[in-house]
Amino acid sequence: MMHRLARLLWLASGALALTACAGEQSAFTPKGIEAERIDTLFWVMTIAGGVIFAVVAGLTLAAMLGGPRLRAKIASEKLVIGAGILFPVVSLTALLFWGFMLMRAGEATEPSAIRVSISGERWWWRVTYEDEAGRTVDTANELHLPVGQPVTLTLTSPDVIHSFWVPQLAGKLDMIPGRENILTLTATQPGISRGQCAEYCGGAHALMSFYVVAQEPDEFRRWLDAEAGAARPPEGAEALEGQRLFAAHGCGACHAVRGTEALGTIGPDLTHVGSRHSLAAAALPNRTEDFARWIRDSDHIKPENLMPPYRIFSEEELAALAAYLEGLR
Amino acid sequence: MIDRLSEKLPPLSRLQRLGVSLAIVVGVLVIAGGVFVLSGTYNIAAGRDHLSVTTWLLEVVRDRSIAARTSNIKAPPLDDPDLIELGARHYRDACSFCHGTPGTPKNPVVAQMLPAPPDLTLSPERYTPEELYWIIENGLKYTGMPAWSAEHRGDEVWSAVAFIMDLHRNGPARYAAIAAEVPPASMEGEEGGDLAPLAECVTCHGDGKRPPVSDLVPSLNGQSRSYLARALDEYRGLVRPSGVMAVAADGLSDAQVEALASYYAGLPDVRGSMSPVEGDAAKGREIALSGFRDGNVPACAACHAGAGRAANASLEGLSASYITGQLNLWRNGERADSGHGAIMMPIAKRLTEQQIKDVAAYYQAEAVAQEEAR
Repeated sequence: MMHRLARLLWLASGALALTACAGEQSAFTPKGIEAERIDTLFWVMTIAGGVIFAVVAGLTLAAMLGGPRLRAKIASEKLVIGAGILFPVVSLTALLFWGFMLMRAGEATEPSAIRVSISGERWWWRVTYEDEAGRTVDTANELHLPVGQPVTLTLTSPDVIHSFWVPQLAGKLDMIPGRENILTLTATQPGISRGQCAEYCGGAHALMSFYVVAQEPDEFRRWLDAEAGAARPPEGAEALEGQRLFAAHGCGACHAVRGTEALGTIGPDLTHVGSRHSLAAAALPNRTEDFARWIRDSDHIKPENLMPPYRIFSEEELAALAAYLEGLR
Repeated sequence: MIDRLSEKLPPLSRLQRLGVSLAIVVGVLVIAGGVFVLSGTYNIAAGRDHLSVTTWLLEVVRDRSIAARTSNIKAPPLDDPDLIELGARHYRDACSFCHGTPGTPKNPVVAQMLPAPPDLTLSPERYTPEELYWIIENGLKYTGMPAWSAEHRGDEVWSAVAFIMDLHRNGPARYAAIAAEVPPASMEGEEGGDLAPLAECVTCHGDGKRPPVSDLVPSLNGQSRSYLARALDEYRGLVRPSGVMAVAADGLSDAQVEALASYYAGLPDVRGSMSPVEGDAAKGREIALSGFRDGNVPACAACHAGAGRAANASLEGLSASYITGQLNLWRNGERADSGHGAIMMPIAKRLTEQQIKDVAAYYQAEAVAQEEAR
């Protein structure tokens, strides 16, 4: 009901600019419980505020243009006390408590069975799952969630303040060094949403995004089991050469590819990087040629990011590295 | 008619008359100057000295300009033998053609330059070390003195200053011995085939029997052939900044680069007495072998050991002075024009000065890794 009304108002107002907000990173198309509450709250406030504004504007017009009797009524003490004092006190108090109730303010959240720690790095997301059995799974720059199950996220940062925001799922929450902030996400339907760092955190802040993949619980389980596994061995001569180059040029000093000698923890874990929906924290799509571009020109694609540019490789070597990394699914 | 015109004009005030006369004088001067410049009256010949007033004016301008630009420069200790030894050899290769061998008569060709390049033995009486540094780094307009052939390599420039100060203190005897190290024949090229330039390399870098003459000069023994060839190629192409090596590598052919690289790659570890270091080798070892995640610093060994040794410098046994010098170049944003330099720069920027010293102390103490099949 609320939504139909909202859509009507939207269309009626002809707010074409708002259509830019639709889609995978829009708070207007919620796919999570908290985002739905925020959406409801937003529309109630917007519509109620619009109605009050229209009434006030009408009264103002009447006061300027109306006849003496109408103006006398508007000037009456009753109206001033009723509409000017009582109504705001009552409606704002009601709104405040309804807001508390709607957003479950102060509600103790039970930690979910599967917990996820997300650390805001410069400028990417370090993601670690811990399941019921205490198994931890390291990954990066992508979050998978089981539909219908609340998932507790522990948000932190090693150095600068970031803010974790997936508009389709929930409100934003800061990631503060030395502090653990807890956010619970419950996806209500399967699909892909996009998240974005929402607190200026340095040069590459605008290119610090990620995708959230909400899956049916069974599918999520299968994904988590696969993600926990070691990397697939390379297939084909080109990918094999890529693996050799990866090892010989010290990539493993910063990146981990589990199941190989690469165990670095400075940069994102690449064990299953080929299966992700983006590269470099959603700075690039995940295509073979984008791996090559990133390796050679990371400093131009994402200025100030911490990975040194590797302009030492030939085109063939870059293609081999890209084939190897793309194959890490 | 003129009378009538002058009657019509208002009488000029004193100030106006002065202005008109001034304009006439300036006009005449401009025309005279133009005639002087365009007629070719001025004799540009180097064989004819300046008027003494011109010489005086040029010298005042030069010395005031130098003095005005040296207030922020601070000399390091210049009695450091590492600086003097390197400076002496660079003087021999780059400066001696014009400035001559101290204590011997000037090259007659160069003696006809105007101004003639001075004998540097006496320079410290006229200039402070800081002023000498500025002159050597920047060169002097209208004199034939060039700027240092690599930008932002003040560390190298100090070696030349240290040599000049030593020359002034101790006389030319030591330099005469250094100048004689390179047999003149090696300059001609063909005698040793592609290894002909080796005679020059050896005088600084040493060889299978002698260590480098200075801690500022890296030992090349046992470095990989491909790394050495790449380094020479980068010096030759002015991609890797070094005024000293730009001179040494200038004009090397591809075959010579390969021959020299192969020669040094095959030499055994020859260690001189390197000066003690300020760093903590144990802390340096931690950074070198493991890196540290909090600072986003990967382990040096990830690229400089194991499989990476084929393409990158082997750091074991390199002097701490050389390692700190290079890391500080990167830390200051230099040496980043080459592909490999661009990788090192962001990493070196994450190190503190103390961490650089620690890493250098660790690697200086390590034995050169001699491996088969490089």
